[in-house]
Amino acid sequence: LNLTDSPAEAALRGELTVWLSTNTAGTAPERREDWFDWRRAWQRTLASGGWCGVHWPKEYGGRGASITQSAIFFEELARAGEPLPANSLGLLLAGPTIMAWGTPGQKERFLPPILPADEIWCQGFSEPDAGSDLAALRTRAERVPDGWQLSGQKVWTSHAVHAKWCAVVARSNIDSTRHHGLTFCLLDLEQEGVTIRPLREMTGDAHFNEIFLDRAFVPDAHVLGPVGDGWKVAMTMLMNERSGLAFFWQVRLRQLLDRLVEEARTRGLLADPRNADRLGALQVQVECLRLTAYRGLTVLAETGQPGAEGSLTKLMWSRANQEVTQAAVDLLGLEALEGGSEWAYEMLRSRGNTIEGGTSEILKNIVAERVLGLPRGR
Amino acid sequence: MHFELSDDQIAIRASAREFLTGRMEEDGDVLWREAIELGWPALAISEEHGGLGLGTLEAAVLAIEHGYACVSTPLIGVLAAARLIEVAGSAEQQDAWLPRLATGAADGAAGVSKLVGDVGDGDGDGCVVLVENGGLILIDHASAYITPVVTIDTHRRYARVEGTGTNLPGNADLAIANVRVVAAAELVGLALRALDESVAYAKDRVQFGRPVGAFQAVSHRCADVLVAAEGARSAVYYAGWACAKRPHDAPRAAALAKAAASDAAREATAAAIQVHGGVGFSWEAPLHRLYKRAQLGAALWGTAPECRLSLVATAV
Repeated sequence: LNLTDSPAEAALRGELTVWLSTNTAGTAPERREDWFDWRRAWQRTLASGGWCGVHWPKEYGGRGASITQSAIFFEELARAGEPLPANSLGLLLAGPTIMAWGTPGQKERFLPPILPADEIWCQGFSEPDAGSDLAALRTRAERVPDGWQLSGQKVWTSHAVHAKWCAVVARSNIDSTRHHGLTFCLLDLEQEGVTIRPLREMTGDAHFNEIFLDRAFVPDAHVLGPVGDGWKVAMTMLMNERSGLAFFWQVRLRQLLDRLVEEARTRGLLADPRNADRLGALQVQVECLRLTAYRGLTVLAETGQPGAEGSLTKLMWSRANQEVTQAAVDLLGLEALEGGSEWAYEMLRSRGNTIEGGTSEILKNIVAERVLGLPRGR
Repeated sequence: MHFELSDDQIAIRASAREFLTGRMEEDGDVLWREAIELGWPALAISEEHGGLGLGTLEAAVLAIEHGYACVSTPLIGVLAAARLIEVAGSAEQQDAWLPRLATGAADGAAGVSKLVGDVGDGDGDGCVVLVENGGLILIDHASAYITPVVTIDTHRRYARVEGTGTNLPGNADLAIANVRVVAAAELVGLALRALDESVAYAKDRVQFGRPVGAFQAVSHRCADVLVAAEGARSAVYYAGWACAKRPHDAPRAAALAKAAASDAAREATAAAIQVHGGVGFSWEAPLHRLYKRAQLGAALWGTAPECRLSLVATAV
């Protein structure tokens, strides 16, 4: 057991911190709707320095870094206060899934434009009637000459208005049910038959979108994996947290808590033991998360498979993020609830954390069944 | 970076699990004599003082198994006394006590005057280390007044201890941190055992035509306990490592681990009683033993609120 960097890990951390000391995304734009372009420019800067796709193999333009090194990348990026690159879905989800399932032609076509954010990706899985229950999805893929025509509706699709490509799971066998008869399509959003409508979230931002598909065309060459085996490809994508991205969010949470403790100290709020106890409890939560994440990373690095710890950290992080931001609002009082307050924004945003990427209820089912071995329930 | 146990540490865990399994009901003194043969009291004592030369992390690995088995040996007290003397004792104090603690020739215990765990009647050779006003006092059994105290945890000896002794001159905060890690580790073991008992029962017990573990009210509580127990285990691992490798961070890390483990053990053992229903509330089921030990363990070596307040006092 050793929490210090290996020589290779220390080398990457050192090289990166030097690079980050002279390269920055700069101050965030005032309007949040301008953030995507800001992060896109930042991704180009990262790519020009060789810091995009750190965990991608070298043959695809990455650094070929280990999972631990990639986690270090995200850790240091967050520590430097820099944002994530704009094309995160492409870098972390679509890219690795194409590497796993794609034909040589697909890899050659799709992978290179992901790194410099020339082509943005989004993920078209959820539907109005298929959220946690993804296998209930109804978007249809109908056979036409040379390809498929997609019709249906996708929802909660982040960054679709900026995206060129959408990874869509559709039902290619109309008589199939559940996870059978699905096909994974790489859909060009820039065509007739695709309508994108932004959805405003409770924060006031509009990162989400609805996508309406009316006979949108996907050529055969853009079907990823075998026709009818889309569920397996989708699972590859959903299970593809092999990048250490969680370490970015974990550091961000730590920074948020440190700021809150400092703010509370400055205002003399720690003299009240109720406040001190609450902030102490949050430190325990946040540190247990960090250390459990390191254990998960070690298991992943050594076995190539996420262990039990991996499924726990999302539960821990999402809950801690909600509790830290709620504590901020409670301790700092009414000013934290004013429009434009960063604490208020963080609190509102955190409500999504226990929903996005698997609700906490679904994650607990997974933990209960796969980690504890409890019988399948409903 | 490798944040999991080493092969040697895993071997300690495996042999302890094998040795302790199914021995909850056995006489603690008999079991302890076997444990001495296995070298347990010597584990975290330096080689120059006749020990095996391992550290607090290995002691914690052993303590987790001791908690898991919920046995009645004085292991935790002996490890605590030995760690305090090793870390904060003078050369004479170390020479006087560590070799005898290592062989089991002397008993050892440590705590606050009001309630010390694992302390015998004081008739035999042994010592008690008391935490007083942030310092540490080493008291020989010969000059100690030991008054047994009956607690709800009837399978461990507790006593009020008074007497005159000598100060341990070294870094008391660091020494106490070492013991806190061991105490927290035992609590993690209790939490993991309680969870395993809950899961086994929930798979087996059928109500409304299905195993109760298929109900989310039950399975989600088990998942919550796993989150708490594994989080605390991670904190114990780090704190144990920090005691040797990052001593400047050890007091913070140990307080954090103790806070996490105290809460995890109390919640896990309470949840186990609830998951077992009426059986959980019975004297026959072992769950009340886990619950009671968790309550005592959580109360000694810094309660969760005490530990949390110390974190904020030192933070940023």
